[in-house]
Amino acid sequence: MISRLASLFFPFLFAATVLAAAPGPRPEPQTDSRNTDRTAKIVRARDTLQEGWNAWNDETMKAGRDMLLSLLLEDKDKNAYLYYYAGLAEHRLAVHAFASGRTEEAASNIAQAKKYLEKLIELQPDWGEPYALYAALLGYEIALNPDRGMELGMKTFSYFGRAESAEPQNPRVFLLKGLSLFYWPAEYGGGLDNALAVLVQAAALFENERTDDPLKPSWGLDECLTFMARAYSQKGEKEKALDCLKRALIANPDYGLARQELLALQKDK
Amino acid sequence: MSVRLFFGLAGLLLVASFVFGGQEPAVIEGHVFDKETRSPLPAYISLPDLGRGVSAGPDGRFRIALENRPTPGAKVRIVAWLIGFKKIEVEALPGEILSLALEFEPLPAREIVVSADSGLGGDKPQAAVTLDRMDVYRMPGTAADPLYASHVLPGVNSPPDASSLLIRGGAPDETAYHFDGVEITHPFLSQSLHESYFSIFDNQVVEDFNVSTSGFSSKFGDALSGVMDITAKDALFKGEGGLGLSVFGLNSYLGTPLAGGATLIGSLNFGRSELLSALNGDDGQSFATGNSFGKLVVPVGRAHTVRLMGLYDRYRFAQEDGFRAASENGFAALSLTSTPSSAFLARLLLSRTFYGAAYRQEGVFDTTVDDRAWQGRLEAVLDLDRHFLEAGLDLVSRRQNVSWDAETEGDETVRAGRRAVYVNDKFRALDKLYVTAGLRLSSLSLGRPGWRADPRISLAYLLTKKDTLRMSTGVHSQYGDHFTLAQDGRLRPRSAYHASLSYDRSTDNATLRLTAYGKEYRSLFLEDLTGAGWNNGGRGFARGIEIFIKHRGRKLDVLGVYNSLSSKRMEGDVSVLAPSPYEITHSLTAIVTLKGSRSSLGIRYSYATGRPYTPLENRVWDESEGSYLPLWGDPYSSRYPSYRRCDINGTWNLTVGKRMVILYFGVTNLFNARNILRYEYSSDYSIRNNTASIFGRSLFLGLYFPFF
Repeated sequence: MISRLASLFFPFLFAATVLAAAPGPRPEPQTDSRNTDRTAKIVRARDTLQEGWNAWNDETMKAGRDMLLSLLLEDKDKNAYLYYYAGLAEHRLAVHAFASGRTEEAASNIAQAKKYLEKLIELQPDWGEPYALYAALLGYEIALNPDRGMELGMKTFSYFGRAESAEPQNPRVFLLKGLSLFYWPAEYGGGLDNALAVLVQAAALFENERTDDPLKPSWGLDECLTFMARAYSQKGEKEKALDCLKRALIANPDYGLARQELLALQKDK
Repeated sequence: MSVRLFFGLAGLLLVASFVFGGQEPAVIEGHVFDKETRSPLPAYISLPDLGRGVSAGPDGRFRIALENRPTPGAKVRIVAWLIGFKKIEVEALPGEILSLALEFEPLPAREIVVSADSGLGGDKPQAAVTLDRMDVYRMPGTAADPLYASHVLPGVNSPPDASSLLIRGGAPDETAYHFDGVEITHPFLSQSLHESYFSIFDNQVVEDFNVSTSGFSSKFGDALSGVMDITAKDALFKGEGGLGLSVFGLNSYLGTPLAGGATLIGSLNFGRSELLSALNGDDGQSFATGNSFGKLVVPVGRAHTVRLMGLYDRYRFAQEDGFRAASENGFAALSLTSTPSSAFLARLLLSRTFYGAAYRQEGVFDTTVDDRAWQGRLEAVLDLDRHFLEAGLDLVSRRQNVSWDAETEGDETVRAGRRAVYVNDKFRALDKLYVTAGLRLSSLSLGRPGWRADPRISLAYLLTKKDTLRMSTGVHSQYGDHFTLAQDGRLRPRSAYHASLSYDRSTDNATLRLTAYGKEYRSLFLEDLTGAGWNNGGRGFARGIEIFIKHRGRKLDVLGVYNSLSSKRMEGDVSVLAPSPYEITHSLTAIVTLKGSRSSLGIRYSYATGRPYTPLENRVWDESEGSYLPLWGDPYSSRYPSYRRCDINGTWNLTVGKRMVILYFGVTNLFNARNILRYEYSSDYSIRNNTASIFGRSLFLGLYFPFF
């Protein structure tokens, strides 16, 4: 009797499972720019964030972040870009807090950024860039908890690998990796030379990057060139460093770090 | 005079504040915190009607100035939200100081570990008892073997220094082992009549392992006490590997992405005991091992993945007195995984396992064992967020042969087919209550015909984000020894009724688990002493408590496990309810690991009360046999001496050129404690020999070159 029941039950269950798996009412993440009003709002928030980043002003960055959060609060369609920029905002605030010695605040920003990116990865598992941002956050986590270096270091490798595999032509994947390599020990494949090689690769990819979607991330060339300059400068190749900084300021004339580095380099000369 | 001036100024200020107070903007301020932990939250506070919003600081405090003063007495609508928490909406008067408590958002069913599993893995926030990969490497006395590492998990014990698992008082054969979905019936590198040592699972290729000591999923069956489920590394996005050299031999690992998103993973290890024995002054025996593993992961289109896997393991052992043992062990498997949507996965797995062993003593015995099986599994997983459904079909065809003399083939052969279907639903019954309900139906072509139904249910109640209460109960059946089943067609599978309750507290740096459990054995195989064969009259129980504590500090990690157990069994030729031979009443393990930036040093101490054994009371001369016969005391009424062992190990990371080199050492059984495995008697029962553990004090040295 049980065997008969089982033989009936299993095919039924399997069929039910297959039917239930068919595309249903589960909302797909909306990543296009159909809603122009919302697109404009996201762009405004993103630009405010960038403005704060350019000026190294955390209050402006927070204003940008809060604009994104107000949009996220109303978001019904699970807009992937909102999660991306919220994660980027928290990432940048973490960098600022970390550089200013506010480690508890940095840890809080990292935790928030990870949550947005985890949600984003769940929504769009094939998008490589969020993995790279996540990997970069893990790097800061290691800096805050050096005893977790080995464990998180392996994860960092894995996330960067995943990002590269998903988007081998995305310059920000290589930018974020290059920036991380600056702080990795040479025996793990990090160090100045390795970092510079990856940043050069990123810069080449930035040259070819074209974006038609206003919401698609397009940041990073200024940062890439500035850190390339820093690497050249540390290697004693001042001319190359100067050239990179000038190019960085052409890409983004408001980028404060490039201006600061340029002044320092010119004074040094 | 000055007092007068002070009060005069203060009065003036007070009047000024009344006069000009009306000019100040009204504000909404307060703090946001986690309802359960009371810790501050950097939530976003929005005033939707006024189009204003701000994030609270890391201290949870916020302040929003209102540009225009609202009508006196009019309330302002406030929404507070943070990712991972439920949104709340309140109304307040301007100037009011608010305390906003946010409750965490219920997680999807798949993210909650409902049963009190434990194991390796850092990505399971709800599975409180986990060891990460570095724990396994750093843990003294485990030789980086996942099976040995699992001995420090709560509810897990082992015979002294052996690798087999005694889960909550269960016999070693009551645990099932699965490797990447393939059921492994012989998981040990060296397996003999009494003990087994080390496993065939190479930690270099292990991604994750999980040990269930009760309430395990209906996906797993034919196990009375527990399941060890190991997952090998899979799709890699970056190459990795390593080469190791030690006094025992060579080990190597390579994992590399290939074109088209494919991945190749492989490991190859060889070991010989001569150098190790010379270093530690051991002689009289030698052994050699070889182990290889390969896995190819090939994506086919966006929705399908083909996996090819193979494992081969070889072991040779020789003793001066002429005893020889050899074994070969492995499997080959092919799987196809399809994920037509992010919420659905189906997998078909076909595998062939093989195990062959030979034990020889010139002129005394010559035994060979051959065990082969075909396995087929079809699994489907459906993620509906609130429900996480699993269903599957599990088929095994197994042939076992034992030959007592290698010259004559097929002394005893038994063939059996096992069929099982299962369904498992993990769902969120309430916001904080997660339930796993499962049913497994199985049948075996040996013993009493018919299907066996094993229902199981587990509950997890999230008291807070950090505190979880778990309860599991269920029926678990195991068919047992196929040779015994083949002798008597009336035998039913043995069964165990599990019930366990555990409390977990898991913070960023610390883990605590307290568990109480009971396990009732029924239908155990009992030998009819009148010679009428076997029946299902055996029974027993195992009851106990477990305490697990782990703390991870910047410089120091501490791990402590305590198990208390009471267990009795009536089984085999023991026809009364006697202490179980697997009853270790108290066991304690403490591990302290000191961590430097480039080095680590671990110290482990283990203590366990001795297991019960049946004492020899006397001997009598038997005229008819012309030999002495033993007079045994009450079954399992004495205990072996307590077990004690202290191990240390350490690592030192060096940079040679631009490459990392890890030097490591281990001292096993530092104080050379003589731990008794069992007593053996001379043929006339006049002399008792104490057979001690093979793990005397020994030093192990090696170096490892990781590649990134």
